[in-house]
Amino acid sequence: MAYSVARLAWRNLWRHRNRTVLLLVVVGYATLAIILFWGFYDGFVASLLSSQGRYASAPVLITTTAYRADPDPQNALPELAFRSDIARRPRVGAVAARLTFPALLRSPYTAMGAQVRGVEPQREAMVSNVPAAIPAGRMVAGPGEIVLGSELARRLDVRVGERLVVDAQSLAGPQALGLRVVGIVRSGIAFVDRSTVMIDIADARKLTGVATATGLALDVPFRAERPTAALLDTPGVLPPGVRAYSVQDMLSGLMSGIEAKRRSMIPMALLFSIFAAVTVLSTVVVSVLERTREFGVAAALGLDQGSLAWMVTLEATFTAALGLVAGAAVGYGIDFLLSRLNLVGPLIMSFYGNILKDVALGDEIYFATSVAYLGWASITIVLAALFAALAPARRLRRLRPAEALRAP
Amino acid sequence: MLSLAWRNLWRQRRRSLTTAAAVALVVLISILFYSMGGALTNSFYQDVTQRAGHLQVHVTGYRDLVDLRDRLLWPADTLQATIARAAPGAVVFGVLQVPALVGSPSRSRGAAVLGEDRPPALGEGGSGRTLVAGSLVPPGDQRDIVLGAALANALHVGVGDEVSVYAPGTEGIGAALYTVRGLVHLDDPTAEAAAAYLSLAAAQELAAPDAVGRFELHFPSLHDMRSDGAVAATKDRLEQALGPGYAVETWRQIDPTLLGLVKAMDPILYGMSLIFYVLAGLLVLNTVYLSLIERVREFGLVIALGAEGRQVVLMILTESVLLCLTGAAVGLAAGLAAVAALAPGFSLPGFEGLYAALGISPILYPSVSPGQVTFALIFALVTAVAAALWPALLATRIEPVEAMRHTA
Repeated sequence: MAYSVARLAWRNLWRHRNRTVLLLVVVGYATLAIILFWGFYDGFVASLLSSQGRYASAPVLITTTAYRADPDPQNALPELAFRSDIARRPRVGAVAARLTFPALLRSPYTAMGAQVRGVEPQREAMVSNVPAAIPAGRMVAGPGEIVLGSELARRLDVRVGERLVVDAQSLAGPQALGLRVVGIVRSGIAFVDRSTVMIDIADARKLTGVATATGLALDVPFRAERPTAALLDTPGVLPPGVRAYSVQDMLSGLMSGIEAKRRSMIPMALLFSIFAAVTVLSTVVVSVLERTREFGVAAALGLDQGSLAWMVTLEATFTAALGLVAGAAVGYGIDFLLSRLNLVGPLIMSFYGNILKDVALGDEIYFATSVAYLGWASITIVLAALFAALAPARRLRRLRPAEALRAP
Repeated sequence: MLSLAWRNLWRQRRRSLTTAAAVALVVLISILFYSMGGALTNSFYQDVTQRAGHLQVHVTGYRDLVDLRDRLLWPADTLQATIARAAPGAVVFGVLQVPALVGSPSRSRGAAVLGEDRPPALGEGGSGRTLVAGSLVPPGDQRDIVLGAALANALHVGVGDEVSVYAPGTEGIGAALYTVRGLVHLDDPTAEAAAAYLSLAAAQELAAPDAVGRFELHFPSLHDMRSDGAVAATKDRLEQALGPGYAVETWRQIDPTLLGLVKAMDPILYGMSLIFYVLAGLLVLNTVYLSLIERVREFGLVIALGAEGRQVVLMILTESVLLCLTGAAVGLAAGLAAVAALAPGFSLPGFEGLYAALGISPILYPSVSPGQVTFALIFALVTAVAAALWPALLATRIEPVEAMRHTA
């Protein structure tokens, strides 16, 4: 009996084709919208994080585990022989050595503590976006030179061409070097302009007494950061006590704030699902009203009211399920396309470029894909079936065939 | 015509009710949707204002002054009293930030030492700091210091250890020993590695007796970015009370970057409401169309009896307008009532624990603007009336006999 009711429900869908198609479009559209919305949001956040990584640290950073817990030159890499091997790995573009150490910057007017980064100038430009953000002057080209963030330069009251003394604690006691300011970094991003200090790695080695580096920064394409870091972490690749960290590992602090905002979006996504389910309900209600005579005939022919109610519920559920499948197919299709092609990025940048630049977002925005989005969209189906079971189907249980047959 | 339209509506009570309900629902959910978007914007607003206050008072031209001594506001107590009088209802406190060298027996690091007595009325949740060990420094305390966890790590100290703070070139004693009382975590890892907190009195004794670097004014009960008028009014009063020599800035002026982030939400919210309205339009279209298409037969009959096509269309229009206005009014009332009920703040059930772990307030403050409400109303009305015209026009286009036999 249940099977016959199901078959009836299925056939009814195709008898009233226009209504079915309209309903399909509604549920399909809602599914598509939900998938693309979360795909966009998650992708946006991931793109943001990767972009920030190219300013704040690097796509992948190789350091000792001791350095990760205590970022001091004391915990520098033991040797650099393995770097040529790393450079040959798939998806690793460039390997730039960095020697980061705390120091005192002294200008003629004042002194400030800062984290100084000793870099290999040409390679640094390949792993970081900072060297490209120097409108005044140029990037460090060799020993004897220093580049500062604009906010830092302002506080120290120095300009391009002036001299600064860098005081540091080396393994052999205090060291100092006089360096010439050759460039000022102005990226528009607060933390970059406030804290960037770059010198040639040779000078850094002199100041710290460290012959190697505190870290190796790798140029890895967007979204390959985590897999590449994981690959490098397999035993035998890196020396003992040395590990590779992706930008996601290093910027985990920022993630928590973003996660909180994501959850604030949930009420809106739920409203949307409820809305789509209500549309399903409205069509079912109208359909039931319009088909009163038809139901009267069916009831007169022997189909009991309970089965009628189930039939209507099943019709609503089938339609919603079909709509979900269609919407998911198109939705994930577009999502996948936009996760490989950077189509949305330039569009958004053209409207909101100014604002987004301040948060270190480049013009590359890729969508994210996840099966979880389908879960969210499925809520629509569940709600639709629920609503259909409630009002219209319940009405049908109390159908009186004789009256129904005479309905207009 | 009006009475005829009204009677028609009552003849088809269920159809009328369904259509009116659909319009009401669209208006209601549109308003709720917008209000959730408003809640999201307000959560950014809260982040910004809880961290830095709604207003700040500095020395005029403080952004261009380099030396700490030039940037001091003095005498702090008198100024604070003046400010408090000009800003009733605001929580006022002074902050003194001193660049200093923090040292332990093994290491030393540059840090930005912040002296403040954050009033308990504001709570710690919004300051951006999460306590991870020990406790915070009580107001007026002269012996204790709280460090960023990363800074404590770099200095090899923990709760209970002693650190030295050296602030040369200032008006105070310039150097002191403090006991680490607690450790905090900040979102920004660079800031955490240079974060240290003293009571205001301790900072003053160290660097600038009876002076502060800025005053912060917080309005803890202001949750809605749109009803920010009190802030502007207070700014005017403050400027009058303080006179020249002081810069009074609102939260928008203090950190334009954060305001940019708030504005960056706009494209996302526009996109979402666009997606939503397509669905809303479909719902209304669906309901109105389906409930009227059966009436083509009725219209055919009326035309066959001598009514002019024009009159039929006019009757339909009148009915629709009446019906949709009623539905929209109900939706409007329900929507505004819902927002008014939620506006004092609500939290998503089940998520409180997670938010507390992240150190973020779980309370959302929905709000909606008159423009958004008007748009929702106009959209619902226009769509509903347009959807009603189709079957009417259909009836007038085809032969009455055909119309009388029309089936959907």
